[in-house]
Amino acid sequence: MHTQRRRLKDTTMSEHPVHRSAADAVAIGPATSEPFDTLLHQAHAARLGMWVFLASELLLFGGFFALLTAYRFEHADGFREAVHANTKVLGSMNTLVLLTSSTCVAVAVHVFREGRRRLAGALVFTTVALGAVFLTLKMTEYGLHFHEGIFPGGHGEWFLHHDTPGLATFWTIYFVATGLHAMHVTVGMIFLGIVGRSVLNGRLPRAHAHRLELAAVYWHLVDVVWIFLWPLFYLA
Amino acid sequence: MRRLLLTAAALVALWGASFGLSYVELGRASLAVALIIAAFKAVLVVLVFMELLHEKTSVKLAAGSALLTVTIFVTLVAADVATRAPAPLDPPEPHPTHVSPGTGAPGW
Repeated sequence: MHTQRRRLKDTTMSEHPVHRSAADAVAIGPATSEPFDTLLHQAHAARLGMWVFLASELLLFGGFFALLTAYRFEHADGFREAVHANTKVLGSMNTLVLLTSSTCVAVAVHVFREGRRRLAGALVFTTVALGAVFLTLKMTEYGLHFHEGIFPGGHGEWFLHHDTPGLATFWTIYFVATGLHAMHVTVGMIFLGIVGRSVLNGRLPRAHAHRLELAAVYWHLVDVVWIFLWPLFYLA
Repeated sequence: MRRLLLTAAALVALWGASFGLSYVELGRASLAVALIIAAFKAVLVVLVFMELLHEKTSVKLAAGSALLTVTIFVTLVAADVATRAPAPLDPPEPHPTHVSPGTGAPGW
């Protein structure tokens, strides 16, 4: 069913901070999709769906954290040596980039709810740009690793001079985990780019702010995963 | 807005703490310290930026159950590998199952 219903005098919606009055609702034209009666229910269902998806993402990355835990116990010296050989400054800059981007998109959601559409759009696209900075730095790091002769699976001449047990394991998990994370960054940029465009051109009404929230929480999860990958691969 | 900016400031401060401490020799505690700081950062992002604090119980349940599952998973893996008996340096001597009559040579 493609039926959409306008609910101009929805008292339930007026309790939401976004819908302070019926007149406001008329101005922004809120409409629900089947089978929801109110936008509140629709927004809650959408958020719950996204969080269940994020929970599955957490389980996916949980596998990497379990692997890292097991191999670190087994090859403590090798992992420490590999961490010291990693590009700590670039990796740390990337952490700062992601933390800043998360702040940007959180503020974007906040100002969009207040009706500041252009500022929200600008902040969303700043977040996308920071995602691009992250990927550029990540590719630079990969380039430096390849230049040194560090490849997944323990291939490359770096391993001819470094033979501590566990080095090949570390670098293989590093490339797979950070590569998977970079894919998530890319998906997040696309997601935010699509929603951000709707925010800027006014096609996303303020009443549907939850759509921007969904893209934002996905981006935050990408940030949270990196918050844990950073110390494990770069710091200690 | 003020809360968001304060959270951002706290995140940058914690980032600085992690980065600075990585240059201090803490021995085996360095990873634990780095992960504890990371956990603080993650809690700030999840509760404030992702607004989990203000979400309904169903959403909290979805997030909490995933976190609990991963925690149990990683803890059990850690408990397993940390408590394994060390591998023997030499393979154990094979034990003869019987001695061939007349020759005295072990048979397998």
